[in-house]
Amino acid sequence: MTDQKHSNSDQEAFVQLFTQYERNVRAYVASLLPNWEGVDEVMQASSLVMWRKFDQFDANRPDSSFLSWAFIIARYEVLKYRRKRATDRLVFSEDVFELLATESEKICSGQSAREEALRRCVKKLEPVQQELVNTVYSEGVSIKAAATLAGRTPTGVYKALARVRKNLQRCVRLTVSEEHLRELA
Amino acid sequence: MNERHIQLVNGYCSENLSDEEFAELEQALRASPELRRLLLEYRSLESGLRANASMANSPSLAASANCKQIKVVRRMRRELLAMAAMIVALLSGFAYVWLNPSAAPLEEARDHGVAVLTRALDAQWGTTDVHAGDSLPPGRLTLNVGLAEIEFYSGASVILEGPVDLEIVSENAGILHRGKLRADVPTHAHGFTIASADVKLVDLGTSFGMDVGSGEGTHVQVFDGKVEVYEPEANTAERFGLEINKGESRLVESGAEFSVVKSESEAFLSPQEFDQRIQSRLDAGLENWAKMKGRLIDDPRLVALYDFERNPVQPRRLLNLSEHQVPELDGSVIGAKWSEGRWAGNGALDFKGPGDRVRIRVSETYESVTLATWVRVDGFDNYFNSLLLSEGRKRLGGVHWQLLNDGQIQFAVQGLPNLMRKASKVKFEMQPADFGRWMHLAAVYDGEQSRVRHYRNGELIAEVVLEQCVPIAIGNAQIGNWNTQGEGSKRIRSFNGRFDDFVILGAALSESEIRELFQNSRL
Repeated sequence: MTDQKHSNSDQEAFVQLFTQYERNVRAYVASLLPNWEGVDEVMQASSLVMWRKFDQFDANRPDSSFLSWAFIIARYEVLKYRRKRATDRLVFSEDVFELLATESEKICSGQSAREEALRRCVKKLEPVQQELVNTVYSEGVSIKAAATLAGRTPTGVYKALARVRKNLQRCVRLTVSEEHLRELA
Repeated sequence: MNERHIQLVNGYCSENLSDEEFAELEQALRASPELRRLLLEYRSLESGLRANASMANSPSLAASANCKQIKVVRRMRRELLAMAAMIVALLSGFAYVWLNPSAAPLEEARDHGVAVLTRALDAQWGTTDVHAGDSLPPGRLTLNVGLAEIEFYSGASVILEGPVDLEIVSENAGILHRGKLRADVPTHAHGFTIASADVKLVDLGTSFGMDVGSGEGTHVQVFDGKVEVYEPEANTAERFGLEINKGESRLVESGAEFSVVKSESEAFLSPQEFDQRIQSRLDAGLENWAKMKGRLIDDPRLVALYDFERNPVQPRRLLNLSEHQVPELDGSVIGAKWSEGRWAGNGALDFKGPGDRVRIRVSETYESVTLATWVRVDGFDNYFNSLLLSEGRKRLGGVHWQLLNDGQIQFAVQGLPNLMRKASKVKFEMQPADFGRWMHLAAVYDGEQSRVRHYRNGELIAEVVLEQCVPIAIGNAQIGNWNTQGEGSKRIRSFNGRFDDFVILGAALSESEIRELFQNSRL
């Protein structure tokens, strides 16, 4: 194999597909691992493997989609990461992992629609909740720091986050299913 | 699925579960498809919220992410590895640049910073080492000894006096865990917030000092304008803070109850005093360098020493200060313009155009050679970026010392075909903040020990063992450019940046001598 293994059009095709589906794959990996450093590491490793094996992906075969191919690779990389970090906490045992992985593919296939819905749902939150979401989910802000800034205790922040998640999950589920119904109509 | 289960899923998402709780969650997940769906939906939410937050922080990058990535790929035909690395860098959002042939690296870099370390004096960091010019992401910064100045992207600037432990939270907020800071806050940064265990302080456009001791509360002192202080748990949006006005000093404690009492004023280092300290350090550095130059001139191993000071009588000559006062060692300045060096008021030559160069001739032949220089790389315009290149392509003993824009530095000698091709290049990383920053580079070719050593800022970065050694014959050579003398293509190797001081010795300096040279020529 040479450096010329991938042609330029291959490279463009890959980057286009990857950019299109990166968020789906990321959500999928996040559904199988609790910590975000792990998610980032697995995403890096997966993207490399996908790039190296891109010539094995055949877009013209009727039963193949980039996303299901990417899910297979990401799943394998999550397993590899788990083996490497056998001592990590909050790692699901194999049977639960398998159940989640299979069901996660369905949910994450619709990640774009979910994130679109999510953006609208966040705007419907109360201002205080929106503020909390902005603080906590910006990179690098710990719950403790967020608590100090918001003038709350860490426990208070955890509770507030639980309420935010509940609201958002309901709102997203509703929005996505409404859209689904509209498409069917 | 009950409330308890939902609570467990929340704990999982916040990575805040005990081992027992996690086991309980697993058991429940096995039994309940609804709970599994809930967990997956929550994780999908988390992933989306995170992606949105990072987008909100860098709108311009996110908006054009698609076309940028494709542009990068088009430029990168050559190396599979480089391509893969770039994808990884883009994905993980490293603020680290992978320098790649024919790619313009800087515009792809991402900045996770919310503040810049503008100046540091005798700083010893307890956390990771940071340098003036580095951008700082949110996180804990421990300065054990020394002084540092940080400018938040909002415009607020703080001076830290070690020992101090500051957590940078956002562009306009921080937490002072311990130690002393002075903040100067322009109107843009109105609302700049510094919290401590005792107090939350919101600035209203002013300057103030804050000192967190061990256990005896937080001292707050206002030099100008006014600030509002709140109990640490307070919601500042309600705006019922206690005002502290210009000239007042207060001790704030929040033990059993929140108390603010008058206190003695303390000494905080002002920006003007910081300027003075830096200035006296610069003066001392300049004096050190003057002495070091004297020692170099007395050193019999010295071949040439250029301090890049403009001579008004012969402005297009680069004067050599060594005892070998042969005219050919004086350089001819072509194109390059006189400008400011690493000390204000000191000279340097600025190389910008593809024709800019300095020509010298070193006629003698040496078994070993040391080259050392202070350079400021402003950018990599070409694949090869010349530091010092012997003219011509195939002259035995000719020297090639250059930076490659794929993150390598090379010192190669003509006549060693194998060495020339691969082993002479070693890894040389440039962070985004390294561009426009002065650095000291040295290459030591040791003919006796058969090795080349590369140094950056006095530290050994790599050693290359040679299979064969030929004597060094620099001959006609160019600083900051190259001339093939008509042999083959004229691939441009011009350097973009400045040179300030260039030393050539006809011997191999030891590691400690290189460190000494660096220490005595730095700011």
